[in-house]
Amino acid sequence: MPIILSILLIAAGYWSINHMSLLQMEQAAMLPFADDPDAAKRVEKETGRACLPEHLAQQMALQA
Amino acid sequence: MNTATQQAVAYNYKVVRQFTIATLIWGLLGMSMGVFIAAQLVWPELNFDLPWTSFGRIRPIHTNIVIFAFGGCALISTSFYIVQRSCYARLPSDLAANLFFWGWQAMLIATVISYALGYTTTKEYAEMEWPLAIFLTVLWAVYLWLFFGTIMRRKTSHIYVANWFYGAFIIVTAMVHIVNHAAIPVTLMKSYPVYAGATDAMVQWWFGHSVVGFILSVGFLGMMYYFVPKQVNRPIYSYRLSIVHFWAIISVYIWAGPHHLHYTALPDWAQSLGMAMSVILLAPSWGGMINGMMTLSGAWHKLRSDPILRFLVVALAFYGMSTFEGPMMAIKTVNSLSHYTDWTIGHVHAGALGWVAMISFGSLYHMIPKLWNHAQMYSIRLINLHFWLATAGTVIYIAAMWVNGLTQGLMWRAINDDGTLSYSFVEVLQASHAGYIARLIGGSLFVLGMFLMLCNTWLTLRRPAQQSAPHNVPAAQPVEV
Repeated sequence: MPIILSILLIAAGYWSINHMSLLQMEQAAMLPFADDPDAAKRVEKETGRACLPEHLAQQMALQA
Repeated sequence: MNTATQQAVAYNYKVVRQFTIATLIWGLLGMSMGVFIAAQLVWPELNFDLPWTSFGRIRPIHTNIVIFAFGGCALISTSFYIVQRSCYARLPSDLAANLFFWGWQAMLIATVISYALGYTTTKEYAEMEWPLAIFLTVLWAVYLWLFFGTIMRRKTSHIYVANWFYGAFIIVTAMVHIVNHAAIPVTLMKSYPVYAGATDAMVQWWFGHSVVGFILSVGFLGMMYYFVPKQVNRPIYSYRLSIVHFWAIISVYIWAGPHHLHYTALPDWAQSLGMAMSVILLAPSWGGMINGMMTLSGAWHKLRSDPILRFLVVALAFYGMSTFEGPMMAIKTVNSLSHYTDWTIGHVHAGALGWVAMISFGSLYHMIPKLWNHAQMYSIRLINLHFWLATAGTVIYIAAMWVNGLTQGLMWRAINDDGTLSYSFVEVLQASHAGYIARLIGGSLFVLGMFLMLCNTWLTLRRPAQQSAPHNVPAAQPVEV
């Protein structure tokens, strides 16, 4: 039982890494800042990544 | 409607505030208990020849308060804060959150009283008798619903990784608590476990190490993954690494318990398996430490002026150190020297003071001004003083215990040519006395820092709140007011 559970956990880990692109991961890392517009703008400026919803939409449109 | 009212509509901060205050009060109480029992080891007269003030009864009160009251309240307050802010959703029920807060406090008070009266299962970190264990299970189910209910209501497509860590902490704690407390009650305050002998010991340390792993490591890593990026103003160094080490740490931690039972009646293969898994555990543990540390790359200069960041980074350093020390101590040959000595106490406190308490202090110093609509804490100098007291206290404490541990281990195993023991137990105790005094000094410094934090918080809360708090409403999802 514990062995099966461990295999399931490893499979879940493998799946969760593979179903996200690098860009999605970068955006996910910006989530803690999105609730604070001032900080979000500062972090966007420093990192060049989109964080605020309007910037995220812009980035998505560019990608499309 | 002003922003402060909008914030109250958007998020349930009341329960976060309640648990934050409770964290500080329980922290001071639990750590003071620790200092008191440290003083008892220096001056045994402080046991007062009374059963309820004896070391044997106060020690579990100390451990339970610092783990479940201080650590528990810190994890609950930060988890409610993070899950709401990163999911842009309010907790599913204010009433349930309120009941959960008061229920948790009632459970803690009842636990402390029952230990002082001598009601105990004698299982480490699981001393509470069956009525309290059931009460805790019910409360935990409410917590689980509040946390995952918020995730279900989220407005974001992705669940931020900090919530993964909190989620694992909540689920696994429920699982190990229920399994380890399976018991047959014989009276209202007495029960016997359904397991016996080595099986009982194995289940107990499967639980015991999972408390260390999933409450004191995984839960607090969730805290780290939110507050370190927020305080540095940079996203986490590698989101991919956070996912990899999350799955690795939860897969491996659950296997490490048998290292608490080396050289016992537990089958040898189980001991060796526990040892091997403990050594493997070093990799995912350091994955989290490196990820947190590297978030500061290019921003190390911020440490010069930001004592809150110092708390967070030093906590990560202690996490790295204690998660290196732990696997080393799990190796059987090292364990034969270290086990049953003060080295173990030093190791535990490197994690408890250096990692758990310091990451909590840093996170709470970040969170408190935001919860009460202030720009910052009342005094940054007091935070700085707290940082140095906590750091000095931790270093003195663990260094004293290392020296004591090695002394005790070496003296216990020393034998004469004729095979008799070179030292009596009392001689080893006398050799440990200086270390006990140093430990008392270190612990006292740490408690003094905790007291300063409580004062600083009190002074912050006394000030009138700012009229506009610009950071407290969701930016991505407009608040409906």
